[in-house]
Amino acid sequence: MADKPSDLVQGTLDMLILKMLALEPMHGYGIAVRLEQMSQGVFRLNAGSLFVAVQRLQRDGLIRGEWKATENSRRAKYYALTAQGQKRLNSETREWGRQVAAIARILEAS
Amino acid sequence: MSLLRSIASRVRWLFRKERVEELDEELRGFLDMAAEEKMKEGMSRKDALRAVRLERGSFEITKEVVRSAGWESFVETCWQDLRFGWRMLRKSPGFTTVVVLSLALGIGANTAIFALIDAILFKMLPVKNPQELALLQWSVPRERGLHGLWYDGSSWPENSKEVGFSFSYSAFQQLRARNEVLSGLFAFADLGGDVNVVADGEPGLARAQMASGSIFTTLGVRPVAGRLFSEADDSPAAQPVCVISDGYWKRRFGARTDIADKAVVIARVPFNIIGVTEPNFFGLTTGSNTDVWVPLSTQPLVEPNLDPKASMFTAADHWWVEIMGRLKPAVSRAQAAAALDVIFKPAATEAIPSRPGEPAVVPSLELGRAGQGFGRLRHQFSAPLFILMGLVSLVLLIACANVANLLLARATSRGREVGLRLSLGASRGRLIRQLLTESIVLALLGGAVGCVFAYWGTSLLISLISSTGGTISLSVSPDLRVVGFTTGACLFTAILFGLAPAWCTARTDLAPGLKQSPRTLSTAGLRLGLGKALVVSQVAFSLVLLFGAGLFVRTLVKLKNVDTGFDTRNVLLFGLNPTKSGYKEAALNDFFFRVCQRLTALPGVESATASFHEPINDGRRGRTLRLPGLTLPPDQMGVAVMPTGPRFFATMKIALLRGRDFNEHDTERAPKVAVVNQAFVKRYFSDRDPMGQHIGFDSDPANQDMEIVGIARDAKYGSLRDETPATVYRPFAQESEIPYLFFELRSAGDPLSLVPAVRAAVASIDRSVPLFAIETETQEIDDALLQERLFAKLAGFFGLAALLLASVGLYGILSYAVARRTSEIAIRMALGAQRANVLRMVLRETLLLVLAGVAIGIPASFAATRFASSVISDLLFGINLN
Repeated sequence: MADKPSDLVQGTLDMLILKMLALEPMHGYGIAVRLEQMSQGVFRLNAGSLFVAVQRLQRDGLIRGEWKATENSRRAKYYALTAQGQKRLNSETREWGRQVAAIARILEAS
Repeated sequence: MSLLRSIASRVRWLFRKERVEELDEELRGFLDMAAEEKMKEGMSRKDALRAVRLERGSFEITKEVVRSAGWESFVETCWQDLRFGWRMLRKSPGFTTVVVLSLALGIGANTAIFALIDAILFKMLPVKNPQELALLQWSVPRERGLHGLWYDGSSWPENSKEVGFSFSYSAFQQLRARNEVLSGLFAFADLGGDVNVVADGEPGLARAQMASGSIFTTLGVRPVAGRLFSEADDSPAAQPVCVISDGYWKRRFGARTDIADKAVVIARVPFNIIGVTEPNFFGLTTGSNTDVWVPLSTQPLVEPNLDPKASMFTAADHWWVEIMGRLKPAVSRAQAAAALDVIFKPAATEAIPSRPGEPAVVPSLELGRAGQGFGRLRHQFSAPLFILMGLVSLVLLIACANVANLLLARATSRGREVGLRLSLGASRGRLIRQLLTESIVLALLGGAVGCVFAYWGTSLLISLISSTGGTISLSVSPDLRVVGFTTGACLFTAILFGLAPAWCTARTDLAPGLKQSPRTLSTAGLRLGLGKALVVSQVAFSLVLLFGAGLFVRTLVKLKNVDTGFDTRNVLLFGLNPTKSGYKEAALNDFFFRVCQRLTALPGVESATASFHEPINDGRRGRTLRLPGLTLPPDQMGVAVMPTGPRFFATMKIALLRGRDFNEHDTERAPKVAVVNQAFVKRYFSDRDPMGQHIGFDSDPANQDMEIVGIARDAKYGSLRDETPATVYRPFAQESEIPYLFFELRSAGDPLSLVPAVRAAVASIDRSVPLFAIETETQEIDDALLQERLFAKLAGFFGLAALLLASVGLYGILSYAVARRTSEIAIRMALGAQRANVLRMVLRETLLLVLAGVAIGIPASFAATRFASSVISDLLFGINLN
């Protein structure tokens, strides 16, 4: 189980977060839970890695945050993808697909 | 663009205060939500929080991790360090003052010299694309030289070549008409010395330059008022007009707006001012600002007596204009030079008289860089300035060693603080960073004070290199280069003096640092060793500096004690140029004779004479000797010629070995005579008696047959450094082209006290002829030794400063060492050691340090001198570097 970003392939955490937010805007904990669910427990983020990544994305203008009330009427910062973030996600997904296919080809070539 | 935006967004991010609180709230929310989830599964709140901490990380640690992730946190901690460093420095003002002052001395001296280097060597002319400008120059092999021309302008040896910058006007015309590589070119020439400009009836001196019509369009200089020259203004038929500089406009005319069409009289010729150049354009010559430009076509009007024989514009052998051009885009300098050379070669070959039995000298055309302006200053001072730069960087190194030493000693007293920080979890890297930040604060403070020193230093230097012969006006306003240099110097010194102490400090061993007094810290020994090494290097560096200073002082002393061959004391010198008041030919000579006579009769004057050149100066007239019955290689036929007045040898106290002095009867109609010196006799008359022999000069029809009537003892002429040249002294009336003379008065008392009487005497003959260049012979020699004096003074000053710094360093390290050993000394004394023994012990240590420094410094001095010998040998005299 990889719970540290260094165990993820470099840079994939950013891509995964972008993907989560492309589904719908959500807050930090929401991202962590959704990621865990969707990866069936493979990726369990700790708060440090998550927020470092979130801050980085926000600074680069790929996501945008807004304080809102949650369903449990608690205040939380909801993040949403910007147009630039959407573009980045598309390009990274494409690149990822290309790389995975390439790696698969190499591994199968035995 | 995206980079810019990202930087902007990051900077905005940096200054958002709420960011920190926001992050806290968000993080707390995250952990709370995670805990609530767990509590839903039935955990108690306490257990849930504990589980979340394990799974997701604790609040405090996460906060740290997130905050220190970006570079913003780096800036933030730097800012903290800066503030902390500042507080620490304020706590010990004595230490701070000493450090800042020594750094200020080092950085200030470096900045001052660099600012001068920048102004003289690097600064570009404030014109359009200065890097495209090219100055035309010719070169011939050095041993051949260029002879037989009427040459006005500079030329100097460069490597194996003689390089010059003046051309004939006809060559300029051909280059202008036929070249295809320059988008524009223009000719210019200085109007000798300062000219008299009369405006509204008031006279005043100004620096003037003649230039062809396209000067301003080629340079791309625009007017701030009126208009500038066009080609139409540069024609003999045109109304004489002139352009003035912005500075002159403000200084002389109070920047009056109705300047266009203002009538002025320049050198007795009426001109109309047509415009003013833009403010930052100071002219083409580095170090001398041009006030007035007149068209080249007005040369016959403003210099009516310059050359009586032929027109300056048609004679191919009159080389007097400098030429500058702008390269066309996509034409390289080498291509352009080759293309221009093809045009220039035939013109030059035709102009230069060939001599029988010799291959013709054909100069080739080259293109020099002109973007930084042109001038004697660059040629004269570039090597000296770089040597000075070397000297001052040594001073800076010593200052650095000094500060490092002080920091080391201070580190001891901060041992506890450092120990505490380390034990609280500060990493050593972080600690070094903080200590380096403190060093940078110190260096920046030093740099700031140094800038003040540099400001004084630069003006002092400029006044030192300005002789009475001409003031140097340089704009040494700090530009980006100087600012960058100083900042770089600050940072470099900070790292240089800060790194070693910081590293030492951060290596502090924890336990004893907290438990015991700082004096016994385990790294103290290491620190002391480093300190000693620094002191040794300081002593060594100071020695190198003092050695250099010694060389320059010795050079000055030797030059001052050179036997000039005449008595330099109690001689008053001044110049008269009556041609500017309209005197010519016979009337001119008559005027000179009358002045001489009148001066001799003055009370307090023992004797008076005149000469065309001041005895010791850069100027020296040369001719090619013609001697019947003697054939020597042509390069040995060059002799120095000194046109003189009556009683020259008696007045200057040059011993006449045989024959007679000149007198009033040696006029232009009298038989041609000459007095020669011993060097002349040795070279041409080693086997026979020269008295009564006849000699002549090449290409001087008036002087084909002169009788040698006397032999004088060798006396220096021109330069103090050179061997006395083979010299022919001549009555001035029998020499051609003598527009002015310098008069020499031998006085009984202080020569300068004669000046009012001399002025009155000259005025009684003609009050329209002004005296110029009034000084004593000793002042003249001091002027000639300007550069040597400058070096002796500066090197001496820096040497002493270095010594002072080294002493402070020595004191610092010794007092530290002694303090460390107080208890040891106390025990020794309690056990019966005498005071003298203890003193001896301490002094022996000092002596060892100094001796070690000397042992390194002496060979280092020799090595440094050898290393720099190619540059400094020109500056030294009478000292054998080997």
